[in-house]
Amino acid sequence: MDLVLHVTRFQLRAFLRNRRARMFTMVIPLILLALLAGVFDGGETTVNGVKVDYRQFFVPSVVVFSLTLTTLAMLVATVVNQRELGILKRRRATPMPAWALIAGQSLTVVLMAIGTVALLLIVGAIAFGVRIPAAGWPTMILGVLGGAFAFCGLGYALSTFADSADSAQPMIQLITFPLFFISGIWIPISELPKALEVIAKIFPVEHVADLVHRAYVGAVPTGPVLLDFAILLAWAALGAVVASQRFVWMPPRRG
Amino acid sequence: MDTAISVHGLRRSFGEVEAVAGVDLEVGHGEIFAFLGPNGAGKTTTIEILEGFGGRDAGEVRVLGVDPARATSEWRQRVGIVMQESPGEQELTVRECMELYAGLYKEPRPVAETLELVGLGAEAAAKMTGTLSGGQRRRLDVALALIGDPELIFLDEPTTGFDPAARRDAWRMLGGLRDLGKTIFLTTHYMEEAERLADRIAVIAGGRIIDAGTPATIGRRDIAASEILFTLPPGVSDRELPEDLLALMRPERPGGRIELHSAAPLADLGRLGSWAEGRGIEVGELEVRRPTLEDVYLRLTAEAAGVETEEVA
Repeated sequence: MDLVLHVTRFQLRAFLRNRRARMFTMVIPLILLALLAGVFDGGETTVNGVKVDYRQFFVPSVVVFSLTLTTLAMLVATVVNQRELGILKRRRATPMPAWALIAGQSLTVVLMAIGTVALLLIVGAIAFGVRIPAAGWPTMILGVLGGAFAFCGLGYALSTFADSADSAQPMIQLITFPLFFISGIWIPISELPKALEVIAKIFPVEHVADLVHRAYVGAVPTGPVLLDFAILLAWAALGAVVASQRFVWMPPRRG
Repeated sequence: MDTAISVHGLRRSFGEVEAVAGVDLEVGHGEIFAFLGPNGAGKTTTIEILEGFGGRDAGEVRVLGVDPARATSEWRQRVGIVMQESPGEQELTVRECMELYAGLYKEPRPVAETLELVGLGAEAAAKMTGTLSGGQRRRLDVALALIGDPELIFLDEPTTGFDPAARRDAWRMLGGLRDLGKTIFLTTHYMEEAERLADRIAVIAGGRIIDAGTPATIGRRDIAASEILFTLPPGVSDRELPEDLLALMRPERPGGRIELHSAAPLADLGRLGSWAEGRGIEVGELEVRRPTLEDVYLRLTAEAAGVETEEVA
């Protein structure tokens, strides 16, 4: 465990120095928040049967968007990049056990994600007056944890399908952008065709979005909330199984 | 346990291709062992197996007394690996990078001392790894492999891409590792490097060890024929040479010079000398050459590739 924290400490430091990582995790979400919550002032929609105004819809949406990008996209990009550069192999060549390497990597992105989410919650509350009611906090925590687990598992699984950082980027965008669209993030799921909703519910993004949106309307962890969380854990497990079958430490062979 | 590495009958295929086709190797403790071979000869596959990164189809492998296919954390404490070029964690300084890896070992060497050993001073230690020059990055690679204070170090092409001065520095550094009593398993494409550093050499081609020995004896280099090169003054034909020297003459004329192929260069030179003296002429551009390690290596690998070469010995 000391090893995990040791690696995490250095990785966080490296991440925070990386301009692209800061762009991804801090700047882009804040710009999105300002644009969406700023532009869509007034107007109403429904989330799980509760009427909310657009701000109350978009603040949690940006939270989910950033949570996904910071965990899933960052993890895949990092793992693929480190594999390509031989860093994974070099770390594997040390006495550090494989599980500790994976745990350290995951913990790094989860901490980054928690930082991003905290930032967005604070800005959302102060600048746009959108807060999570006290009753919604347990649901919020389940959303962040469930999302982090699911996306880390999937991140490791997806990292095995790209052999360079160049190919990882479009792959992640191809997967996440349609999911964002149908998962009630940019468009409330109540306004989407039923068929899309059914498809969305298969994938994890919708369940993270559901948890975070419910948290903002003060839902306590009961049936639907726990179901969301359970589905996210199932995705995490599926990702872990695929990764354990396919994961390689070695850089792709040149020539 | 008397050997650091012992390999018997190692085999590894990828699909139809048998990359390693029955390799035997022994490397003693404290030895610098150079593993040479053309690209695609099975070098990398063999090293990866020894490093605990590759599976095998058959064969006995012991590295520091352990089968690397079942590499444990304990074993990894004792083995250092310098891979072919890897840029390292770009957003950390050299010192941070070293501290990161030092923290993964039970009894790491001191960071500053290890950087010193590879010739990275305080100034370089404060640099971001992403801004290092090629030579400095390679030193960092070596330093990272040394940080756990390993008994055995794998060095995969440590000086590829170095300028001649940097290569000399690197050799001095590797010589320093020998003085620390480390066992070193080295691959290189530079024969001069193998000759300078290695106690023993093995050459692999087509997945098989085609020869092994010391830099002086490999490929029967110690008893291989020398070349005597010279020119004759205008008006003197090579046909006028004594019979026994004429028999040694090669058809080629490298640089316009006559080439004799001599198993006993001193005696043949003597004969040439008395003949020239008797005729009252002087031979020009006289040179006696023993085959370099590179000559031997090229002949061995060419023979293995099935190319017709003339017998040198």
